[in-house]
This record gives sequence, structure tokens and C-alpha cells, in this order.
Amino acid sequence: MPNSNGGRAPAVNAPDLSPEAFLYIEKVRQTTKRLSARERAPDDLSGAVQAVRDVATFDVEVPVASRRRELELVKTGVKRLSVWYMRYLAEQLNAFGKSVSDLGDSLAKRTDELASVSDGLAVRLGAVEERLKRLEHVPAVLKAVPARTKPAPVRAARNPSKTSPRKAEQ
Amino acid sequence: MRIDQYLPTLAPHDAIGNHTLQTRRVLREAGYKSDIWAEHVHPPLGREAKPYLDDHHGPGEERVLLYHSSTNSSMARWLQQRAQGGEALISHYHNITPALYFARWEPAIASAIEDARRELSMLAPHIPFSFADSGYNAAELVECGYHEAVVCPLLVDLEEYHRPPDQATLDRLRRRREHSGTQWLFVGRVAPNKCQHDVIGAFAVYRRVFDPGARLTLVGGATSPHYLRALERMVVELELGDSVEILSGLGGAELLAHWAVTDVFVCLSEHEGFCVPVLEAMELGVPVVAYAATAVPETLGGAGVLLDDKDPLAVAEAVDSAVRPGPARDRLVSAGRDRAAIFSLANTSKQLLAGIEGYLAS
Repeated sequence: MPNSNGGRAPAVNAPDLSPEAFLYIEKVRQTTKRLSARERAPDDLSGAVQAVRDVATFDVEVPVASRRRELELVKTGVKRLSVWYMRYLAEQLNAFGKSVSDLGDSLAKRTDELASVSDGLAVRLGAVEERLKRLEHVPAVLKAVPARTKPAPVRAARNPSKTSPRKAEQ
Repeated sequence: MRIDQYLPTLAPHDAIGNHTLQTRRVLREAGYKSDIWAEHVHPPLGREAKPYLDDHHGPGEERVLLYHSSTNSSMARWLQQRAQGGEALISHYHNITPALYFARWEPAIASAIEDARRELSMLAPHIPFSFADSGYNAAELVECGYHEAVVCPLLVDLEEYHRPPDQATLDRLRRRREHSGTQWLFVGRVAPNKCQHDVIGAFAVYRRVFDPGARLTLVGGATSPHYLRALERMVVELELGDSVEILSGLGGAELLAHWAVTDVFVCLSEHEGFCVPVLEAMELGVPVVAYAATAVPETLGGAGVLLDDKDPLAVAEAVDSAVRPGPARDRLVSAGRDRAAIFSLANTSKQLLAGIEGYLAS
């Protein structure tokens, strides 16, 4: 694998892994994916919903670390005094965030379904339009036929059994 | 002749800040007058730079203004006015991280980044010549409408990495090392584009599959506190306990102690204009496993393991191969040192000076 000649590392040959290890690796993949930057097209509704979900979790574990020991103590004190209040607010905000992202999911799903139906309708409409054009074209063809070639009006035969319409045309 | 430098923030332990100080040294040694003007100057460097609004040099003076572009700053419009007034303006582009990475975590930073991109485009017609840290940055500049961009890597004094490490820290880390396994390290600001979450993910798999005693140290101040918090939660969620530590505010000697006990440097960053820590790792003989994105392959120059895939298992396996003692690891270390030598301060200083003199001659 190490390559000192500027080449790229070859594909991974995964060592023998237990099912637990596979599960853990999958968990790691999901976690890293969650934190990765995503480029999103302006009309990417699913991406927008994911962006909402990414920021919809409110953390009440406020960092208290500080280079100054006394400041860290103050921060810790304030955190302990206010954590019940923050947690109460955060629970509601998290629930709200989840509802908003669920709503976004539903809207995205519904929009996808409508887009799919709309695509199907567009195809069918195209076919209907094509057929209509062809039908509109038929009288024009008929008008274009020279008069002498027009079929003679068929007179009602006194005796249909002796004079067929084909004979009358001739 | 005077060549003055302008940058939004001059801070210690900062790659662009160090580069600016080194550039001033190179210019002064070459006989140019040179000062640094900044919008914000961090206290330890208070005497190294002056507030840019106090710069009252006039357009009649024979002078070039060199702007270090990496973030948004009110300085950009001020420089534009100077250029419109007839002063010679050139730039060194250190790259601007795409706003996409910050939109979710720090909307204010994302907005500032968008401003920075607008400023970059705004200055393009006024800047006839630019430096860029890498070919990647140069291409981005040209795409942005700049006339010419010459690649000149960041000026890094690699000798600094051979100073003695902080002994107390080193002793503590060595004691800890006796009871633990492979030591991973990543150095870089805690920012979403650096993808520390991918490093933690790959490390979690490595611990589960290859080395349960492994440890990961992430060093860097938090550009995004919300992202940092998400990383801390991730460590808990993946049951990594105290095998992962996220450190900030380390001094140079303390950081050297961490480098001294490191087995592998893992960089899964998605956006880098150069990536100085990769250079540090190569200089210090630490094998590098990195994701092949933006300027990283160019800086690494084939002297490390490059990955096209960031899947945690793929990264874990690449690390396992890179740290295993043997000829493959030795080749990585040796290639890294050779590669780092190309970026020696002597070489990069020459490149910078040649670029400046080429511009002045034209």
C-alpha cells in the first residue's frame, strides 16, 4: 500500500472481519457521512430536508472548557444551574426540528410522486396530441384529392343484391 | 525601491503570518525597503506590523504593494483605491476555502468567505502579477480573471522543526506511549474543510480492526466551535474514550514533542491551498497518508500514500501498511525528506526573489 512514487493506493482488501466489526464500520460510515459537506442544487428538495435534519438537533451539553480555570468554574456553575431549563427547551426544539424534517420528507416524497405522475401524463398527452394531429391531417388529405378521383356518390340501389357499392363506383 | 506587504491578520504560529515575515527578510536582504501593514496584529507580533490605515506613503514614491489574499478584509477596497490612484499592486494568493464547508456550521464565516471571493474578483483588473502557493491556487486565480500567476510555495523555515522539543511534554508522551499503540496525528485548524471527522472515523475503524491501543491527536485551534463540538460528540458516539485528544494553543516546542512520538500523519482534508503540515511531516520523517484533494497531491509530490477514497476502512488499511516497519515505510520516510528539501527556505526564497525581480524587470 505505501507508495513513494506518487501512485495511488490500490483498492482495499478488507481483512477478515466479524459481523460486529462490519456493523461498527457501517456505523462509522454513517457518522462521517452525516458530518460531511454536501453540495446541493438549488432545486434539490431532499438535500434541503437533509440540511434541516443536520441542524435540527439542539445540544444542551454546553462546552465549559476554558484556558482560565476560574472561567471554567463559572461556566460549569452556570451550566449546572441552568441545565434543567435548557433541557426543557431543547426537548421541545428537538421535537419541533424532527417534525419539520419529517414534514419535509413527506413533502419531498409527495413531490417526487407528483413529478412521476406528471411525467407519465406528459407522455400520454404527447401521444394524444400526435394522434390529434394525424386526425386533423385526414380531411386535408381528402381535400387534396382531385375531383375526378373522388368517389362517386353512391346511389341507393333498388336491388342491393344486384348492384353492390363497388360496382356503382366503377 | 520599496516593497510593502499587506495582510488582513498577522498572527503567531500561522503559516501566512510566518510567510509574510520571511518575505520581508528576503526583500530586505535583497536591498529593498519593506514593511508589513495589517488590519489586525496579534499582540506577540505587535512590533512586526503597523495598522494599514497609518500608511501615508504617496503614489509618487517608487513602491510596490504586495497583498496577501486569503480572507475578506476592508483592506481590499483600500488597496483597490491605491491601485486606481496609480500605485503598483501585486498579490500572493493563499486560497480561500469554499463557503460550502461553513454554511452549515458557521453561517457568518460562510458569508465572510463569499465576501472574500467577491474581493478577489474585484481586485483582478488592478493586479498585473501574482504569486500563488501552488499550481492549484494559480489555476484558481487565472480562472478568477487574473492575468498571470507564478507559483511560489509558502516560505517555511524547516530548520525550526529541528529545535529541541518541550522535554516535559515529550517525557509525558513517551510514558503514555509505552502503554499504547500506533500514534496518529493531524495538525490543522478545526474547520469543516479539514474533515477531522473523517480522520476520527478512519481512526475508529483502525482501532477496531488493526490496533485497539492506537491513539489519535488532533492539533489546531477551532475556526468553527460548532464543528469542534460535533467532533467531540462523535468521539463519544463511536466509543473512542480518551484515545482521541483535540488540542489547541500548543507552543512550537510542545508540538514538536507530539511530532516526535507520531507514527503517521493522516490528512483527509478536502480543501488546501498548500498544506504546510504535510511538509512538516515529510521534514520530520513521519509517513503521510493523505486524501488526494486540491493542492495536497502537489505538495506531497508522490512522497506519501495518496488516497482517492476516504472510506474509513480504506484509510485504516492504508495507515496499517504505512506504519508497519519495513522497506515500504523506509521508502516513504526517505522520499518525504527528499521532497521536503525541495521546499527548503533557501530554495523558496530564491523562487520568491526571482518572481519579484521578473515582475520589476517587466
